[in-house]
Amino acid sequence: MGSGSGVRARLSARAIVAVLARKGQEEVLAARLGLLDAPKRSGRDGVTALGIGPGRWLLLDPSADQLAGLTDLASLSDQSDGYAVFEVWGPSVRAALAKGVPLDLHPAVFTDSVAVTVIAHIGAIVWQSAADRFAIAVFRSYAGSFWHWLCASAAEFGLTVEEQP
Amino acid sequence: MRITCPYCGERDSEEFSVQGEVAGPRPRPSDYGDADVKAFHAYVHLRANDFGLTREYWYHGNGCRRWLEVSRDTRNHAILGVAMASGAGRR
Amino acid sequence: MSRLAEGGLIERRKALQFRFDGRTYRGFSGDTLASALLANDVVLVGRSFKYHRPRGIFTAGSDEPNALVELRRGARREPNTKATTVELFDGLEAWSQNRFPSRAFDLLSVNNLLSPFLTAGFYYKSFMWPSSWWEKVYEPWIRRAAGLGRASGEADPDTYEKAHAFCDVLVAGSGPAGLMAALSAGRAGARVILCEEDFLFGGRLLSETYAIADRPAANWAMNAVAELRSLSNVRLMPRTSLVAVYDGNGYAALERVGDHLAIPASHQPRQRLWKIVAGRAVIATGCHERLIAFGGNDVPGVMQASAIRTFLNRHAVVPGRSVSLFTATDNGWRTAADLARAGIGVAAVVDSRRHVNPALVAAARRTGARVFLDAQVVGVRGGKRVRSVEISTDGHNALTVPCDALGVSGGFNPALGLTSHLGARPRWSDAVSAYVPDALPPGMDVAGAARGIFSLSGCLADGARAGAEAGGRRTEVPVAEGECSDLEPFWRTKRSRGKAFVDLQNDVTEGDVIQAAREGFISGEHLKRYTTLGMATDQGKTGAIVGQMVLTALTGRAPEDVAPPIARPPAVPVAIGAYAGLHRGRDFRPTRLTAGHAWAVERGATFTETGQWLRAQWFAREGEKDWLETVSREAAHVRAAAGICDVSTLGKIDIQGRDAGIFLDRIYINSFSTLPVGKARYGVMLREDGFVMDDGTTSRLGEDRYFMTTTTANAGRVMQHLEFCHQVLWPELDVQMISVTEQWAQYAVAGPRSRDALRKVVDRAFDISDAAFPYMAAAGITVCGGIEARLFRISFSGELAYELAVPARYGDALIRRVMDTAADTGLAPYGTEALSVLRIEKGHPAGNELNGQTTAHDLGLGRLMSSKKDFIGRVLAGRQALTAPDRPSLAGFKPVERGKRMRGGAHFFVPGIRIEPDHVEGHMTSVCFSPALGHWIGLGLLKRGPERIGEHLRAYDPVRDEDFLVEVCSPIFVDPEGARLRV
Repeated sequence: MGSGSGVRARLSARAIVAVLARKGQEEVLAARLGLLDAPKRSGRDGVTALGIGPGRWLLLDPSADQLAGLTDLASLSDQSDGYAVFEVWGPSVRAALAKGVPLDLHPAVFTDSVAVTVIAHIGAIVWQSAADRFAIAVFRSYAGSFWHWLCASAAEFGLTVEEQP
Repeated sequence: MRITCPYCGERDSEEFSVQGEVAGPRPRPSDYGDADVKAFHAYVHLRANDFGLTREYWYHGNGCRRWLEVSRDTRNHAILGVAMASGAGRR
Repeated sequence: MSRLAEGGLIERRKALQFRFDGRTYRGFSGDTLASALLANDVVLVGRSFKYHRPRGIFTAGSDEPNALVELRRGARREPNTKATTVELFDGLEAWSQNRFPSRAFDLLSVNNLLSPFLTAGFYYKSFMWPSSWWEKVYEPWIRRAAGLGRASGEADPDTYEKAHAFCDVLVAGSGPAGLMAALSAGRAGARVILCEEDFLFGGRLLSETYAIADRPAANWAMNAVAELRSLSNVRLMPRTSLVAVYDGNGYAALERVGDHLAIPASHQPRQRLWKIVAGRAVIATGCHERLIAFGGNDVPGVMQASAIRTFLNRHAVVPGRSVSLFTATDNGWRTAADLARAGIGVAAVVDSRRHVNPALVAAARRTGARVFLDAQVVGVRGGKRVRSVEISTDGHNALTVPCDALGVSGGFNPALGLTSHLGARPRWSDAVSAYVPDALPPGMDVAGAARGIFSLSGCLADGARAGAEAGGRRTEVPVAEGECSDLEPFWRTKRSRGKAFVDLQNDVTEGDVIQAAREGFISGEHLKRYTTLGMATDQGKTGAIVGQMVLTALTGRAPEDVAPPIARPPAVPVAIGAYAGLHRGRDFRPTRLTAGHAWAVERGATFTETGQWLRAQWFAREGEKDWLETVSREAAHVRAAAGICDVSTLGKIDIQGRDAGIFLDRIYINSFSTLPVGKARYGVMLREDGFVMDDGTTSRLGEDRYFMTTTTANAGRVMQHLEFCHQVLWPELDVQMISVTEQWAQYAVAGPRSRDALRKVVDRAFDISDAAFPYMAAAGITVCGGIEARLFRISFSGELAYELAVPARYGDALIRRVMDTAADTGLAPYGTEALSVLRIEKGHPAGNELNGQTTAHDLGLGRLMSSKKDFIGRVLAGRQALTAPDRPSLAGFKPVERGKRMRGGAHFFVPGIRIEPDHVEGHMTSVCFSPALGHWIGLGLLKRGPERIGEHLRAYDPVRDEDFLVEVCSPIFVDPEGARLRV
């Protein structure tokens, strides 16, 4: 690896529940949970919702209360084990991600955005977990291949891997 | 090529797969006899394949997973419109 | 040495050593290989393609036709590299090409003497007979005689990358127009990317002595670059060529990250291929100076007038001691003036025009040069270097002027290739006697010389305009001083002495064009293909148009009648590796690993690729002599005791909603709305054209919830199909679906002792006895003390069997726990190969049978087809051809001589009938050695198969040269009653 630490990465364990609106319940559901029916990061009361398609969201770390009573509004599907979520940040994070992420990650463009896309032939969901900090979820089985791509892409900037907190 | 998905916004065509010309609606079978076979044959196999304006199904499989209806000019690859294909094949 | 004592944009304190054809030379940082060779008086750099004529450096840029070299050694050797674009580095090694045995003494230059026979169409005409000579004599000879450089023949040791960039304004080229466009857009705050193929920004300005805003042009350029560098919204990309234009404002650019280094820096690729999406693009790629067709215009020492200025002003290299110029433009006079200012003798300035700016003429005369107006160079003397030029003012008599270099300026070709990548054709402009861009792709603009504006002040102003129109703001245009830029087209000297080339790299002469015209090849495209004009690696940038204009004149047409040149990507050569990026070798595509992968590795599994997945194929044990022994042991063990197999790769889809049952009824040929909660059912789905798409087991987990499984191979396709059906056909249904393939790790546990094995991990609260949990039961349970799991009593092997799914994070722990705790049941792992043996023994169709050409009837599944509902594919499955009684249908096969090994792919013939395609009765789809039966068995598709039990057929396999008798039997080889399932 290079001498500096242009890119830092860690694996992030999140509870993930897919929330799929029942037919015609998109608006009621969105209002109930504070969701935007758009490729945006939304949600309230500590829950982060990622818009991944019309009437479809991934909820990060939702509480049981939040999910209770949604039966007629949404179909829920646990995806906590389906994804590996990587968080990446650091001064060169955008330059490293540009080697595979086909999105404009400019700070003025990609702010509260969520993008379902493909990185190095691997399906991925990308969002900003904090300012200048990106989270990338890939299907669990691809974690090794994705990690290989990330290491190769970040190597010239120096990559530091942090333990999970 | 770039396609502006109504949900995701402008994306590279790599994220999509094309399914060919929009055909439909899907016929309603009556007695599963020759007339139905004829109607389904047209629905499944027959396409205008025009040189010029065309409507195609594109699937945003590496995005929001929505089926889209893309209006395109095959002469210059200009994309004239993209809409959700919701119910496009419904009678 | 031909290096001036001072000046130029070279770093004299950074001396570099390099080798050319084995000899060591010195150059400086800032040199190209071409300028360094000239500085060392190396004028002859190679031999020409066809005639093996001595050739020198003709240009100073990427339009170079002659100076192609092999660069680097070993695996990094790269042929056909333009010496004019190779940035000099310490330790560089290069070799001349196309010489045998040496560049100075070339045996094959005898071709030059044979040249009357080597004219246009020579290969087409000469090597027709005898045909047996082609491979053994003609082709090897031509390859040696006409080859270019040699590829290394080794794997490329370097790495490559791809990257994405987005901007408002993309500017290609950093000459006067490009810099002004970038400044104008950058100052307004637009996100700008400025690509420059050179290692320095400034383009032509680096080679000129003009003043811009009272500063030398190169200084002005450096100031402009410094300002751009200070703007955070501007990204400067040196050593980067725009190589392709795509639909939808997409562009590709090649960044040569490490080509100027002996080997790329660590963690750096050699080249990086950028995919750029730009709101607007300004193409400011300049122009190429044209050659003139005159006798000996290829002799080493003849070069573009502008190239002479580049070598002189930028690299402080003198191309000759006494230089002549042959020009149809003011550009030639500018070169004369710069040479004189540097103290180089100018022997003669020959201008084809009658009227030339008197100030230029007077200035040239003051330097002592002889001036010839309305005159032509008719010949060049000298073999390996120019010795003199022959000048004629009347077309008949010639005067010889000694000199050792000749600068040529026949006009300019705008570098407009990028504007035509999407099919737009340029148009002829009489005003500048060149093709200029006409219609442009959306979002693209062209500025400066690339648009046919050849004056410096014009380029500066046009760049500012383009930048402003691309979203920048009007910016003051600096004043350029001291320029003249008139021209009058001139293509060829009338009475040339010796060969006059129109394509230096492909050795196409004016005579070839005349001959082609005489033979009827009068279309520009035909001319190109017949003579190879413009088809070499330089794409005829300096000369092809001259050849085309000679043809135009011969055929009495106007330039606008001729099809203009258009280009395809890539604009400059791109290493194949750059297109692949990271994705080569084992990274060609991503690999998917199941949660139990590490465990399988520890158990010594051999893996097989199933799509992107790696699956354990078998688990060999010490002492087993081959895979067949291992697989037979695994399969037999399942039937005797219990086995466990990772089936996590099966597609799994969570289907919910009030209408989920109705939806599945329309998807599957059989009914699912009637499936009770807590039950699983085997289902078959068709494509709308009536053929089988996929099969699998779907369970009902709740009133509104189903859990579908698909084959591993079709998981993605089925999901796409379901989404099409829901979104496009039946959006009125309340149904939601999402893939949960990755959420669950799933294991098949099969064999008479599988229940005993499972009891070790299933929590006691759950009764999995046959009575409580019978065949085809499905339930949510817990395992290992409270871990959520799903249990399905389904069987692919025909044995008592289950599939147990746990959240993927427990996938590794679960298999270790089961293997540990169930050791006393004899539980052993088995791989996909044994899985396949077990399913063939049971006659279950899989990938080889679900081949997209089989119907449910063909596979013996016709009885599942409901006649009470519409479902996808029902109507067309009823087509005559799909219900014909003699369609090949699933049957079992065993060798009549039981010891024979059967092969998949063998064709069936009735014994005694001639082997020919019309007589094929079907083919073998799957075979295996059946440990249960002790011989090879197979499944196959045979015309009226089920009716032919007991019949003997020939299994004919011409690929493996096998031909023996097989017996048709039931496809269910083991336990046809299914008794073993229900225990």
